[in-house]
Formats: sequence, structure tokens, C-alpha cells
Amino acid sequence: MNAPFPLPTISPSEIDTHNTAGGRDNGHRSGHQEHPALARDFVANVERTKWHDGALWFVRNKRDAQASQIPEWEYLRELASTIKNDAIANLPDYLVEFERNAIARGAVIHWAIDAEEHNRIVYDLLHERGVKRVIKSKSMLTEECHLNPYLESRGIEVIDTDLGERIVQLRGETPSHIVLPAIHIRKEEVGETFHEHLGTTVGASDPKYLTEAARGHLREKFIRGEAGITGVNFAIAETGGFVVCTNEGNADLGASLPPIHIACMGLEKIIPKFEDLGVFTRLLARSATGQPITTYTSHFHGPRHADSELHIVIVDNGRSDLRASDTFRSALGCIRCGACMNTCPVYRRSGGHSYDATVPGPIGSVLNPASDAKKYKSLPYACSLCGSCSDVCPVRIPLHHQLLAWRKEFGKRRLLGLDKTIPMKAASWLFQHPRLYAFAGAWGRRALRWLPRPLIYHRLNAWSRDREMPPAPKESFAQWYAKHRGGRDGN
Amino acid sequence: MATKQSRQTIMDRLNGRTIAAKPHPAVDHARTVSYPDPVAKFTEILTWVGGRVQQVDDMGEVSHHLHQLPHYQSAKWIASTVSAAVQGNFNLAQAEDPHSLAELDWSIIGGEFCVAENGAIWVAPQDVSQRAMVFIAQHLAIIVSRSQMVMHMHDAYRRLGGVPGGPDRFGVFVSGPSKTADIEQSLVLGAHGCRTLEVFLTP
Amino acid sequence: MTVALFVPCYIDQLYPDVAIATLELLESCGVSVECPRGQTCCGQPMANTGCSADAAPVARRFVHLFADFDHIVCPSGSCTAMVRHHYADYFDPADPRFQHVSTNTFELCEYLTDVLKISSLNVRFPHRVSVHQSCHGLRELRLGASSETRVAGARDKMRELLAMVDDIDWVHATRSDECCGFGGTFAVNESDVSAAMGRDRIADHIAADSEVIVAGDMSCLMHLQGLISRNKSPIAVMHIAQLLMGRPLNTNHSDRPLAQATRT
Repeated sequence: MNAPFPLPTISPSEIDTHNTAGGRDNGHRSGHQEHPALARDFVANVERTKWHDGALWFVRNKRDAQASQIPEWEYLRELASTIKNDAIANLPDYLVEFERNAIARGAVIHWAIDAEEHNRIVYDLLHERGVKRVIKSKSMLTEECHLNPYLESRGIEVIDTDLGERIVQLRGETPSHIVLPAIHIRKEEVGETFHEHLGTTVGASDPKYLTEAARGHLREKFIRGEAGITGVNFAIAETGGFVVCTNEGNADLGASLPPIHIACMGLEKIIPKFEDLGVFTRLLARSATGQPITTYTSHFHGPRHADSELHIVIVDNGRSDLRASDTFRSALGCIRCGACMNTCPVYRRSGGHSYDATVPGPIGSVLNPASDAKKYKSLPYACSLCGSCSDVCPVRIPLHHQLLAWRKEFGKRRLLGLDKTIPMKAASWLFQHPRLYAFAGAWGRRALRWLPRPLIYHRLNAWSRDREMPPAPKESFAQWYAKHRGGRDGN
Repeated sequence: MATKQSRQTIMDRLNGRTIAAKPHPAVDHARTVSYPDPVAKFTEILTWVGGRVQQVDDMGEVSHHLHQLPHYQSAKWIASTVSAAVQGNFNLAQAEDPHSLAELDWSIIGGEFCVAENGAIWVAPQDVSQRAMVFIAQHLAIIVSRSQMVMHMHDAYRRLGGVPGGPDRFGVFVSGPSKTADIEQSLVLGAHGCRTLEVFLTP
Repeated sequence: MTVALFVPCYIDQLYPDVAIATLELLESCGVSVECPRGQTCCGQPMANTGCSADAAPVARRFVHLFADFDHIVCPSGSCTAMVRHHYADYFDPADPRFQHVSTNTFELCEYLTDVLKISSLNVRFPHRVSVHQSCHGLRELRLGASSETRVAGARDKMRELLAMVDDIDWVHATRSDECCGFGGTFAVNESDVSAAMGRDRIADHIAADSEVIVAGDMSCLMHLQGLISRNKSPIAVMHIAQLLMGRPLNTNHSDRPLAQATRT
């Protein structure tokens, strides 16, 4: 696999940076750090971790409550999985169908091989029309392509209008969650940021007050915006239209006010039939935020009237490569609900930034290695293989099995460090030689019983940092069996 | 043009791989949820997400209910596409540019049908003067017939998909006032769209 | 019907009483159990690290050792899941010995409920007990219904067995099936998050006023026990086989007294 997929860290020169109140500098990093080191920093702040974990567990609970109200919940997941698999399998045909129908409705379709081309297409559209002020609603694709810094460095103002995204934008950070971008930020920190940028009262942290301030501030941006950029939740092959789901109404203001609407989508967002929306609109918000449906589920079939423009940019950026993999193809079915993040006990306790990628969490740990296996090789190991992610995924992506598959893939490609390969080779050899295994086991236990504590409990023994060693019995089960049930088979 | 070439490249990549998959499934209607009292369910859910629902017997009652609201009494600009219920004082015919709707306190619009499972109302082009009307006003009122009720989204899309000529240029399911929980998961009603949603269910 | 006991490597070396209790439990249900000579490991540690080449010979050895038994029973959900769901990589799909072993390896609880179909036990355990649902047993073997899914008529095989024990006082952690954080090599690769996860589980069970956390996987309990001992937490751990054989509350904690564990 050689094509890039979600892109790596933002380069420091392209973004205005500050330290967050948590003391971590998100978005300005001189070198990539792997998950364990970043997670350690995060989880060391016990109070903050408890808060972050609690906030996301709260969202997971809301999702559970919604799922309980739908007796056919598992059937819906099965339907969604089958529909997405059909869409992915027959993608070229559906894309052609979508393009034909969308053009018939008056939309203009653009194709981008990669992030760079996507950014160039969007910039050219804006530049040709003399647009200087863009209002953008949440689009993980544009995050993936790093569209904002690209446009900003070329003199175009980009305002992220989703409240969470606006907060991280003002703070010079990247989102830490694909649905709840500011989940890692305390309300006091939002208050500080708004005081600095919006002139709210110093020390104010009431969410209602702060949201009201953001409403006023962003309303002015909506009115003055010259072009609107949105993402796409679902693109319908059968009709050539697409759907955008929001709670805030920001995508709709962005699409309804300026005369130009640019919709950016990964090519995997295609669903075959209009009626498929029935399945996905029942699953998306319930899985993402624990709501029966988002406040607005907006349908776009062509420009809103004769004098306005609708452009749809269809992006590959590594998706066609992922599609070619039998093992990982189903990950393209992701509808970006974030449920896997909310349920992941590791994500909750390490935070989205510890993945150092646009899309974090379980799905990110499956997608990111496809673009850069070396860089992201710690991500499939940032996982206890608990399987909760696979059980919440509305499209039944077998996420934890795919994470395991990545580990095997790394093994095949010889990307594993000696700290992994040597112990495993040794273990494998021991396990193939039962008498040596028994011998090693007996002496290992003796060592645990006899060695002075400092020789067992030290910095190199990662287990012992937080835990006492397991007990060291005098007899193994095999030894007990031979002694007490002797005469029959035993080691 | 550059994107024609990219299109070809992408298509070549996709066509270079034949993938088997199960056929596109049909939804088994017998396995979908059904509510004995869909209007009650609709009302329950829409209320839960922050909307206010009122059953009325005729259009005249709509105006009466609105006038009970302090934020309606003090409203400066009221636009209505349902003249039988409310006349409004904003000339929508003159307001072609969506930006001119920015000062609206109230949009009073119609709705096509309701969805019981999630308190959503389908708003179509004929219900508004233009799309922005739904999102730009401070407060939104939707007048819709409670006899136009479907159980769930499968039925909703079946209804929408059955329109000859295909879907309208635009349309939106609205369920509740705009909202956000982006600040510490604390729910705030009234993000960028309407701050409140009043729904009037006519016969 | 020949039944073999599959003893996970860490139970053999570190928690032999779990295997002894398993053996005794099966025998008390009328099963004649054999322990094949020379068993070591199912290969899961190597497989989960990504070292398939190192897992392969261990897996093949496992199948060779156990292929001649009708049933293979194991007091570990995760080892059982390895054999049932993750052995395909190492074998020709048409290999009859592989097919036999991978379909006839059972976790202990499911063996008791589904194969032996036991309906009563003669054991008393008058303590406040909370259950830890080990992830592989739950989400791979479906020993119970996971809190994420909505499957009608799902059973909970661990609870079915524990319901046969007299005088158990049930208490419940608030998060019914959150992972303990062991995850095999995860425990050392991501030791900070692993420890945080484990501490949270322990605190949850203690807050429920439990005296003992019971689970079907000793690996989870090994990790929790390590944290409990380090932090001197007032709670014990037991494998379900030990509880069902009526072992005392402090059976895994003889190295230190459980001073505050029994709050009567």
C-alpha cells in the first residue's frame, strides 16, 4: 500500500499555536511520538483523565439508551453493513451513477486523487470567484486534507462554524474526536479562549453564556461569508443528491447564504439507493450522540436555485487502496459516528491527540496505518482487543479483528521492534519444548520467590511499575498433576 | 481538464479490482418498529429533544398560541408562508437574497409530514420562500397535519422516494431547536439555527 | 467421550489452583478428564503481538496434542477464543484435526451449561460477589450479552452457574463489562493506560461493596490482583472454577491478609 490516506501532523509553520491549559502543545510538534508516550502524559493527569473518561462514557450511555428503544437495532446494523459492502464492492458503478444524476441536477463534480489535489480544486474554485471569506461546517475529509492551512496560507479566511471546531480553531489545536472536537477541553478553558477572542467576561465558563457569545460571533461570519464548504454524510447514487446531518444548523446556514456551496466527500460516502437513508438516518445520531436523529437532516439535490452554484469534490486519497484489501475493505463503510471512540476504554483514558492523527480511536487505528504503517505502528497496539468497538459500530466493521490483522501485517513486513520480536521468538521456542518450558517456569518462579525486591521491581519491568508480580507457587499444575494423579499423563 | 484525468485514474483503480458482495438488501418491514399511538410518540420525542408540540383544531388557534409567548409578543419581524395561520409582517416576496432574512425573529412555515420515531418533520421547498428561512430566524414554528404521520425513517424515505420526477431540489428533516453540547457535554438549545421550535399539529 | 483439560500456560505456572479446581469441578459433574502430556500454550501471546510465524508451530503443536480427544475444556475465555476463532491462519482449512479441535474446544462455563447442562451444584458461598465479564469470553465466545448489543434472548452463562451457588449476595459494578486493561502484552506496552483501566475496575467493584471479583479468565484477575496488592485494596479475586468448588474467599491472597475485605 503506497497511497497516502489520512495525513500526518500539521506542520508548525502553517498554524498559529498556543499551549493548552493542560500543558500540552497540540498541533506544534517537532517529531511524531507514539501512542504509549502520549498516553502516559495524558493519563498522568488523574483528575483530567477521570473527567474525560466520564464525559465519553456519558455519551456511550446515551447511545445505549437509544439502541434500547429500537427492538430491531441489530437488524439495522446488519442492513447497514450489507448496504455498505454492496456500495464498496460496486463503487465504480455507483460513482458513475451518482455523477450522472448529480450533474443532471445542476451540480458540478470534481475528482481529486489525493489531498493536495482536493485542496487545489477547492482553492481554484474560490480564487476564480474572488472569494476571501469561507464558512465551513464539520468535514473530517477537509481535516484529513489539511484544507484550512492550505487556504489560509493563500489569503483566504476559513471559519469553522461547528462550535467545537471553532473552539479548537481559536485555540490553534486540532480536533480530538471526529464528532465532539472539543471533548478534551474544559469549560473554563473555553471561557479563557472566548475571553481572548470574542471578548466574553473574564472567568465566565457557563456553557449557555459561551454558546450565546459564539452564536453572535459566528452569525456575523455566516452573513459575511462568500462561500460555504460542507462535508457529506451520505451521497446517493440513485438520485445524485447528498445529505448533511447537523445539530447546530451551521452547515445549512453555510449552504443557504453564500451563492457557492462546495461539498467535499471521500468516495466511500456513496450509498446506492435513496431508501438506504432510512437505515442510516436511524443509526447515525443514535450511535454518535445518543439522539434519535440530528436536529437537521438536510438533503441537497442540485444548487438551491438558478443563481447559485453547487460543487461536489470526490476524493480518493488512499481509499481505493484500502478497498483493494480483503482484510481492511470493510473499514470504508465507516459513517464517522465516533461510537467506537466513545466506547474505547483506551481512547477515553488517553485522548484523541495521543493518536497523533486526524482520525483517532479504533477506526483511526485501522485507517492510519494504511497511509503510513511505520509512523502509525503503535496504534493497533493501543488496544486491549476488548471488542467493544466492534459491538457498537453501526456498520459492523470488525474493528478489533482488523487491529489484530494490522499487527500480523506489521509482523510480516518486519516492522516490529526487537522488544516485541525477541521475547516472542523466545516464548515460541520454549512453548515447543515442554521440558525446557517446565524448567524455565520452575526457575522463573524460584526467582520471583527468592530474588530481593529491587531486582524484580525496577524501571525495566513495566508490569511492576503499577502492579505487584503474580504469586509464584512452588508447584506448577503439571507438577501437581504428576504428583497427585501420577500414573496418568502429565508433564 | 485535470480532474478528468484524476477521474480516469480513480476509476481505473476501482475497476481494477472485482469484489464480490451480498446483493443490496431489502428492508423487511415486518421487523421494523411500530407504535400504537404514533402522534403520542412523535410528541414525546420532539418534546424530549426540546421542541414544543401543540395540537390544534384549526389555523386560528395557531396565532392564539403564539401570542402567549413573550418572545413572539416582542418580536419585530415575523415571516410566514402559512397565511391562513399567521400573516406576518415581513414581505418574503421582496426578500430574494437570503441575507435579507437575517433580521427575522420568527419563521412560520408549513411541514409535509411527521416521523413518529424521532419527532422529525419534513420541510420541502413549497413550505418556505427559500431554504435559509428554516435556519436563519431566531425562532421557528412549523404547522403540519398530524394525519400525515409515518412510523419511522424507512417509511419516510419510501414516501419521499415515491415522488415522480425524483426528490425536490432541497428538503430537510427538522427535529427540535438547534443545539450543541460541544462545551463539556452540556446541552444548550439554540446554537446557530433557531433557538426554539414550536410545532402545531393540525387535524 | 474423552475430555481433555487444556491448561493455559499462565495458569499452569502461576495459578495452578484454577486448573485443579477446574479438574475437580468437571469430575464432580461426572466427567472423566485427562491432561495431555506436554501441553504448554495455545499461541495467543505470539499471535496477538503479530508474530504469526512464531505462533504457527505452537498452534500446530496444540492441535496435535489435543486432536484425539472428543472435547477440550479450558478455564479461559481468551485461550478458547484463540483456538476457536483465530487458528485458521495456521492450518489448511480442510485439515480434519484442525477442524475437530477448533470446533470442540470449550470454555469451562459454556461446557457446564451447554454440554453438560448441569442444573445444580452443591456449594455455598456466603459473600458479596461481583462479576467481571472478561472481554474475550463475552464478545468472542458470547458467554453473555455485551452491554453494547441488543440481542433478544441472550444468556449469561456465568451468572447461570453462579445462580446455583447458595447464599451468594450479588452486587454490581456500574460498568458491567468494561475491559480490565490486561489485554496481554497491552499490559506492558501501554502499562499506564492498562493500570488506569484496572484501577477503575477495582474502584467500581469496591464502590459496589463487593468482597470478591469473580471472572472466567485468570489473566484479567492476575492484572487486577497485581493492582489490588500494590494498592492494598480491600477486595479479593477468584476464578469462577474456584468459587464453584467452594474455595475460601482469600484463596488467591494467602500471601497477604485481606484485612478489610470482609466487611460484615
